[in-house]
Amino acid sequence: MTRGRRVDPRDYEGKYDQWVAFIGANHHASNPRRVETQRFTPLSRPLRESRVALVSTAGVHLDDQEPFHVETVAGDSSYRLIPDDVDLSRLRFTHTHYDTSSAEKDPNVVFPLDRLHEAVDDGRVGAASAVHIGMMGFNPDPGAIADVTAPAVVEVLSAEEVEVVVLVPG
Amino acid sequence: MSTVSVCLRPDISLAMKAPRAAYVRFPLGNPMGEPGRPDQQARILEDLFELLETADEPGVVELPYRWRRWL
Repeated sequence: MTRGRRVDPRDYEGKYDQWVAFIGANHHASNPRRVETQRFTPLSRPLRESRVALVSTAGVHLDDQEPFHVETVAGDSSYRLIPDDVDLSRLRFTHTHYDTSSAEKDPNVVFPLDRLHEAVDDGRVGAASAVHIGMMGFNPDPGAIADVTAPAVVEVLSAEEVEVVVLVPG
Repeated sequence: MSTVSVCLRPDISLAMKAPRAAYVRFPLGNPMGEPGRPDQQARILEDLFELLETADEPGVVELPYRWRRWL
């Protein structure tokens, strides 16, 4: 059984709305959303037989890929493909809304690729996806993320026959 | 596709109706724990896997870790 305790949503009532108001007061393009439909997809097969991908919103990209646009008020809804066999020293973290110093010291803090590979080696998970996804979490208006980026990422990962996605923020 | 996420802000994960989220009370920029602590990172990844395997309903679970450098 999972360690930890279940969070009671009542303890966080109103906090999201406060944050939305803060974002609205500080960013021109603010258009936060609530998700109305609760999704919950059970594992289709045991984890030891499943292909796993990482999706990071920590502004992860390769040294030769275009950095995320962090100076625009609207954020950046694009994504980058990170190959599974990447040398982690080639990762860059372009994000101005968190302190990237830990990630620069140890990329696994926001992009735990070495840990995923160890889990594959141990037989805990079946395989790592051939590609993983880097995104940048500063998007005051998440409309393009929901309507364009997320479906595109699902298409990429479906083509890689990914069954499990581990999402890691920045 | 089944998903599990690390969560640094439960209010956001709840509003976004994340199917499964594991909340860690770590500072932004350290979702898998401290740099240079592969044992901690592996433990948190294992917690995420266990949440995937055992959760029978959507929600956020708080993991029992504290950020020692905040002391």
